[in-house]
Amino acid sequence: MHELIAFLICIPLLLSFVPQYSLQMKNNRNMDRVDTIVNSAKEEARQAGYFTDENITHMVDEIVELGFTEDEVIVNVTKVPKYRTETFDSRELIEYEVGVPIEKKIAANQLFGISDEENKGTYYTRGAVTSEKLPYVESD
Amino acid sequence: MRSLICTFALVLLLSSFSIFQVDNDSFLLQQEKLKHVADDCAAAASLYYTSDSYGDGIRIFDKDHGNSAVSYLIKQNLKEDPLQYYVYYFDGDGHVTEYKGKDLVKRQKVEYPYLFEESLTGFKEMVYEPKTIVTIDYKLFDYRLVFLRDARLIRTSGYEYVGS
Repeated sequence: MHELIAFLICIPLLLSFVPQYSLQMKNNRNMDRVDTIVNSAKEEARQAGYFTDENITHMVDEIVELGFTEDEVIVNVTKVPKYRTETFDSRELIEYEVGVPIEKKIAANQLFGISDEENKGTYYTRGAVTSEKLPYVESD
Repeated sequence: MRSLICTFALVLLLSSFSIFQVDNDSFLLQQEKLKHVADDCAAAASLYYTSDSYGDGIRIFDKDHGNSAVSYLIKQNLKEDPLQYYVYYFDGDGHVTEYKGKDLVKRQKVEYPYLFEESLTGFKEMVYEPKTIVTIDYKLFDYRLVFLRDARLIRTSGYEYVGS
């Protein structure tokens, strides 16, 4: 009998690792893809001098394809033109911060006494780049 | 009792797999991020050049502003300060200037094409045109499993003006 009780305690503990591997793979794939999407949007922003509405929409659409809703994607980016200057000026940098929710970090969280609220998180990718857009020079 | 001992052993083994998976994923993510930061820094360093020489058709990088841009971007884009970073400027007049952080290490005259070899990473590149190369030696990545050797997070990236 005691063998059966031990078995019943051990099985859920061991089985909890199986979904954990899959969950970690899913979370990591999402983080990696978000990084790649944001990086390519950032390259476009560098040419344009800022994150254009088209660029933001395209970026968010690509992130939504990963399984997030549009409302879940947090986007804080430079939306006013920044220019390439002859000397370095930190005010002329294009800044970006994009976040996506991580719904679950631990697969069998209840088993380890972790509440659903504690088990959530947000993954941010953020940074700054120089603009390559030349200032508009008015012709005579 | 036997099944309990077996379970503990299995939990330890599976936990090790799980910890390795999390650590390795994090290492790869950080390496990818570092690659992007090195790209951005090399591009930023190449933006500033002296206008007098440019008027003569020679691109000579403005190292002070280039170094300020690299230093600022590294601070903005990385969570921790790197162990060290190196910036190499290949000017249009054939001068190569190497900086360790913001400190001048070496300045020499070369002839293009010039085979550049980064001593830290073994990165080799034939330089034909004005170019900037940035190497960021970020840190030793700490794998939590004690029997794994810590991996070094280091990336090199270059930005070249073709046909300038």
